[in-house]
Amino acid sequence: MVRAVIATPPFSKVLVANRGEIAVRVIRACRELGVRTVAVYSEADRHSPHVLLADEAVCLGPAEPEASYLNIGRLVDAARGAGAEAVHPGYGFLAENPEFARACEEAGLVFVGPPSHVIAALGDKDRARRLAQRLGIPTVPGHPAADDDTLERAACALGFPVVLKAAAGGGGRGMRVVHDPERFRETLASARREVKAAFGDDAVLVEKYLDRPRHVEVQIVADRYGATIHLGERDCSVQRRHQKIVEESPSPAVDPQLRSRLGEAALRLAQEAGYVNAGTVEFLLDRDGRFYFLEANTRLQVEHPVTELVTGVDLVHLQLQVAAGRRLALRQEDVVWRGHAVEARVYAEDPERGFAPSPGRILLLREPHLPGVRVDSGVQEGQDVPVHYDPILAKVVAWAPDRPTAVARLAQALQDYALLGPRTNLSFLLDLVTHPAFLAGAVSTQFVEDQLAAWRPPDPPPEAVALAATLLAQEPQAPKPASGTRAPDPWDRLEGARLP
Amino acid sequence: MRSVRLRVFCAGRQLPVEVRSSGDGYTVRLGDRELRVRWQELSPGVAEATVEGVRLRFCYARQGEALQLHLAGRVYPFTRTREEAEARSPGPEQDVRAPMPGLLTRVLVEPGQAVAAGQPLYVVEAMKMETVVRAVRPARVLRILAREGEQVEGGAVVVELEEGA
Repeated sequence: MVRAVIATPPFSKVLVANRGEIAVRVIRACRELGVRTVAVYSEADRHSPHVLLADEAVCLGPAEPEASYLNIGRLVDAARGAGAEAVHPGYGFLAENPEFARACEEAGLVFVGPPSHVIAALGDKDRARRLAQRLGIPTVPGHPAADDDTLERAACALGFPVVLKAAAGGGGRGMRVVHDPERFRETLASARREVKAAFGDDAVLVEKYLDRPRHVEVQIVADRYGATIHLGERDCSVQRRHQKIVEESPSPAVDPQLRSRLGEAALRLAQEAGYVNAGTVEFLLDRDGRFYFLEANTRLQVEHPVTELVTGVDLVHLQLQVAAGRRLALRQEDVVWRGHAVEARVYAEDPERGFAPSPGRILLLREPHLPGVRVDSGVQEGQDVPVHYDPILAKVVAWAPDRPTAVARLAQALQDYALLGPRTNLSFLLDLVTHPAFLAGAVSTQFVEDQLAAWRPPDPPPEAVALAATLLAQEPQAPKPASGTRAPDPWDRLEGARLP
Repeated sequence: MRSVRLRVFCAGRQLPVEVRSSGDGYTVRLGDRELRVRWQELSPGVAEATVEGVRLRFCYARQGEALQLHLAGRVYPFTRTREEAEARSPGPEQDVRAPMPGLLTRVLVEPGQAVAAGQPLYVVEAMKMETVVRAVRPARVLRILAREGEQVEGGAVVVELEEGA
């Protein structure tokens, strides 16, 4: 391993308790710091890039998340068995699960994130809201997690529309907007089911639903010694099904004055909570420039690269250094923002069919290589995209000195991105980032519903039909063997066999 | 294939097309339009095409009767149903046409002869390379349309076959 620049690795070995693009991204950061890595995988992910990239890999079990990536016992055993000093949880799965952080702490493993009690305090949205209110940070009116009857009464008191959210865990999972009181109960039941499946806890809270706000969040980093800095905001207003799909930094709606007010609110909350490591404080920004605390995410965000590109800071490096007990070398006055970054998330989903997930084998993959474009990808050609997990495949992130150039670079990269096999949202993303309202920076969390609800892919031009016809006129050939899969491994056959 | 008519489905529409091989490419009839199409694969699934004189790059992946085509940032999913397989063609001549312009050095079959799949039919020499053209499926030789020592065009029918003999 080449370690010409980095003096002392923060750890000797880290287990990355995740899969896909974020596992790849964390493993890369570890390698750069001279830290050995342990990947974990389910049986469905045996041939995934993160498994190939790590120094070693441990199979957790069957594809079902409960048996693999959510299996705390197996993860802790894997980390200890491999001699890892620390565990990086990535995002999703167990990243905001205080039980997991505690299990790591008790097993003598460093959890790369805040202490378990901070995750419990901030990850619980009700407690986080009360903390914000105590600090005088505005919050959206709402009612904490309760039983069905209490939530229904609270919703009626708030006035419809209201929004239902998971009390534990973010990412838009379980989030439902209810416009009609008649449909409150059934929507609540479906939200509880989804939240239970995603986080293992069906607690749901209710909030007043703001009309067309922007989603703006502040990246913070804190060390164990009380030093806390913010790295500016990300605008994540562009969402589908309440999940972010395009994010950027800086926000077109935030001026330096608002940036320092948002940053100051985020820092106060983090310091009051005793926050350590990288985290995000989310706000809704209304059309009059008022902001409301939404929630805090005690982990690395999916969209962290846009912050990295405008600040030049590697957030995973900072996470590992802080987790190893080092002091933040970066002071607030050292943080400078340069240019503009935009990210688009590539999903295996069908935008024509309500963004339904579209698993299957990747038959062809050609990722873009362009100046100023970073692709964080977790897939390769020949790989099966499993049905069991989040359909994110990759993130395409473009940087440029100004927003129009960054968006143009992103559009070019999306156009160059060829992925065949599963349906993807690439064509949708291309139309989204070239939409006049997006180009003008005039978006809200309702942007997709308002502007792209009737989106259809363009009809094939004559040249596409003609090329397809010449290919289809030939007899189909026997399917090619998957190119990304490894040669048969003799050890595979030993599964279930008894060794003497 | 001399001419194949297909129904191609894309974006919920059914498009009747006819594909004729011509020269080193194809002529595709779409409704009342005809497009001249040529393409060559640069790497598996990645090709460079000329359609009506316009050059473009595309990627594709085929699975049975389904095809995905990536062109200018868009993925178009196609499926086909073969309307009249190998329409108007009595045999698999397309498969045994001269692969390139060149000198017909040898004819290895005679009219009336039954040939097996893979059996050599004739040899064309071009750019100091010999290419043996073989039968793709079992067939009977109907006619020989060129003589040894003659120059043939790319795509020329040298041996006419009757399939299923």
